[in-house]
Amino acid sequence: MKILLVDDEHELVATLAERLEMRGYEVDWSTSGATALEKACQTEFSLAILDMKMPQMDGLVLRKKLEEITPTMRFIFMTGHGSEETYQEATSSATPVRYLIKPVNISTLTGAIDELTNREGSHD
Amino acid sequence: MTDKWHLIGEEGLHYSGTMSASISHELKNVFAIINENSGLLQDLVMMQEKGMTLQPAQLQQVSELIRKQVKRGDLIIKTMNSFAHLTDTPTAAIEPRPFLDLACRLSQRLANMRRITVEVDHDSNPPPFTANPFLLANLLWRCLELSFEYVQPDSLITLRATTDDHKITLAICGLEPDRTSTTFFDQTTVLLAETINCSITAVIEQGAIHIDVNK
Repeated sequence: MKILLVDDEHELVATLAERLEMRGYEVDWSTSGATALEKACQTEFSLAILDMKMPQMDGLVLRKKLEEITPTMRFIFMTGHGSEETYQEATSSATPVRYLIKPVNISTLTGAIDELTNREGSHD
Repeated sequence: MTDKWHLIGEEGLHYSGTMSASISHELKNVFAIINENSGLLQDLVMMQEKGMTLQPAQLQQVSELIRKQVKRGDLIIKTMNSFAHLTDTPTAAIEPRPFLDLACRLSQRLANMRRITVEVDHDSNPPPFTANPFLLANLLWRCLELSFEYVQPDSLITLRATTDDHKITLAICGLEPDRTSTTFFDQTTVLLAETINCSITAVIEQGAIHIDVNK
């Protein structure tokens, strides 16, 4: 199972990827929607973790484009400030998604990943 | 309250809200990065307890990342503080270059979201002038936000202060001349300019917006 992690904050996305890899996940990451789409064309990802607010292409737009490439992909959104509006937007699709507020607790994140991908195990 | 001050007051609240929200988003990212790196340190300690060797270079790298983010956070707080102090007095002596630096830092994240970079030309440094700092910053932001519509993604917008015998000009440069029009300033922007005795002009051939403050 491969995970795609996308956030425009390089230091955040690189460190988070490293921590997920320590917990046994196979992770690739990107700091832009455009690069994320290129990666998704080359590799089949089971799940994408997306920042809601990114330059040029926000998380919601990116999800739609990723879904066109891999319709079975699951999504977790990360946001700096949660609001009812962004929550509704993020969770309005028929596909189950998770919506997490930064800073994200790693156990909460791995719990959401496992839940969405039906993966079992403890990663704390 | 007159219609004029009602509009200006409403715009001022909107401007304050926009800047505060942007600052808080930036700070959230700083905390998120510090949080991940603190978590990474805990992970490394846990791995050492399980028998893996801790690499000093990796610890050094994490420490450096945290230090860098603390420095970034400190600059954001300083910007926030300078922004808050714009309302201290209705008129003040304004140093053009630091004023443009502040406007640049305040707008950088919002510009970056549109893949636009804002920078200040430090080659010229006109003398201080007197104006209402908050209203002038608000006017500059409105003109800057407007200019975002007149550039392509990956463009550079330069803020420049110049002077002649009669005025100080704060210029927003780098707009595409053929996309610039003379009729795009809305009522609130014009009103703000009038209130602080400034004139705003779209200089089409230069691809610039000029805010002229009389000396």
